[in-house]
Amino acid sequence: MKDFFKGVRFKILIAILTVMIGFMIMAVYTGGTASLVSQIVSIVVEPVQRLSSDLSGRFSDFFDKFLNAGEIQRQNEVMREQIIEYQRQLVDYERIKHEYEQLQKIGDIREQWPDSDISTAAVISRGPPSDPFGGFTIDKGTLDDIALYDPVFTEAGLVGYITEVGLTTSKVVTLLDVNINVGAANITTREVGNVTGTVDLAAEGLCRMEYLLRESETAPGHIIVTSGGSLYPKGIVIGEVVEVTASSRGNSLEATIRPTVEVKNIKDVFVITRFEGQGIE
Amino acid sequence: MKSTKTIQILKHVVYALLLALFYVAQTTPGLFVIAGVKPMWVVPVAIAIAMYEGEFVGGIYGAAAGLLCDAGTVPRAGGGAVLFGFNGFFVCLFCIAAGLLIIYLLRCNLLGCMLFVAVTMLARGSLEFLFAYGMWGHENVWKLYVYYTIPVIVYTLVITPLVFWSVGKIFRKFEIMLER
Repeated sequence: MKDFFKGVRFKILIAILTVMIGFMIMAVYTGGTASLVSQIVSIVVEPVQRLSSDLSGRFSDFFDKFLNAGEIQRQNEVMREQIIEYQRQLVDYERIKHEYEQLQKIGDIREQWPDSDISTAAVISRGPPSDPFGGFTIDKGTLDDIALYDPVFTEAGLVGYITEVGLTTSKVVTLLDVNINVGAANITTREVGNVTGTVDLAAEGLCRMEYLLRESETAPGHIIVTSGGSLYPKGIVIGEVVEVTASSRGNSLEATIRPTVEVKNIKDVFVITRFEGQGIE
Repeated sequence: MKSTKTIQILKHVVYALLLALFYVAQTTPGLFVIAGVKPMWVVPVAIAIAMYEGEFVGGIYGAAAGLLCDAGTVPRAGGGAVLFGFNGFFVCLFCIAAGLLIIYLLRCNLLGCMLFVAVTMLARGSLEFLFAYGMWGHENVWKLYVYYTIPVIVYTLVITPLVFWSVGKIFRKFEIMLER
């Protein structure tokens, strides 16, 4: 054992460990921008991740038809019930009309922000196995004008934002994450709040809208969208309210939101690389 | 007749390919997912290599495996997540320890490998949980440890025999070639 500690190999291993500590210190200073080593590792593994993602997609698409037949049938039944519910709601014409007008405004993202630049990207890997919030890596980076904090969404709605950007890949933190905060608004009542994730809700693919006033009229079925600001453009759909409860502090209400995006099953996303008001506090 | 050096290089190419293969298995969306949990394939690979090849080679593979894990980590603003290099440091450290313990104290067998993997995963997972979630005061954060960190450790232990067998097969194949 003494020989090992005196040998050259021990010194090399100590040097490797020191370099690792150096990487961590570098990561603190670079913040959300991937360090050089991180970028090199990402560039090396990106083709492998892309290949594995493609293979996985083909296999799962093929087997899904057979494996999920029961699930599709169940979904059909659920949809049938929803149709009946929607027909009942048609009676309340004025309310539906109002909501429809609001939905029309947020319907087409590209039309809504004519001055924005939008980039498409594919999910090439998921976060580490111990990440319960569905964080993932996309195949676009600074070379495609992606920048830190750019909003990420799909046709269905908001997904999250860019939390680390490299040359050819970027990492995305999702709506389910406990560390995300999105300024949000209820399009029916126009009340505003903050959407974030919780440990309990993330397991069910849900998130939470906080800081609603105690006299809030927010109710199940209401649509929640981004309220706008320096991080997110106004009007991206976040999800639908499924439940409204008193907050644990008791001084406000909280709404449980079912995101319109199935965060853990996303394959392709859009990234807004520029929009009016971006970065302006 | 291949030279000893060529065989050694070939062996490390095969080890590197094995590491890459298991990294693909680890990062491919939806692959080997049971109840939302995936195993960390590259950690047992590095530990098994350290046990067969010793602390020096093991340390290098440990650092490589850890950096691969770091490359897939999603950092979070306002706290959360671990820094790039965290996994590189800890997996490297535990691989060195595994290599040294095999040389001076323990036998190179599956039980030893599972023990090293369990200790490495528990230490790595616990520190990751502490730095990424535990210390930031989110509500019910302990559930992440119970429902994600621990299951990942258990699942990784389940796949460890396969990894240990694969690395052992490669090691013995090249040992025979080197003896010839």
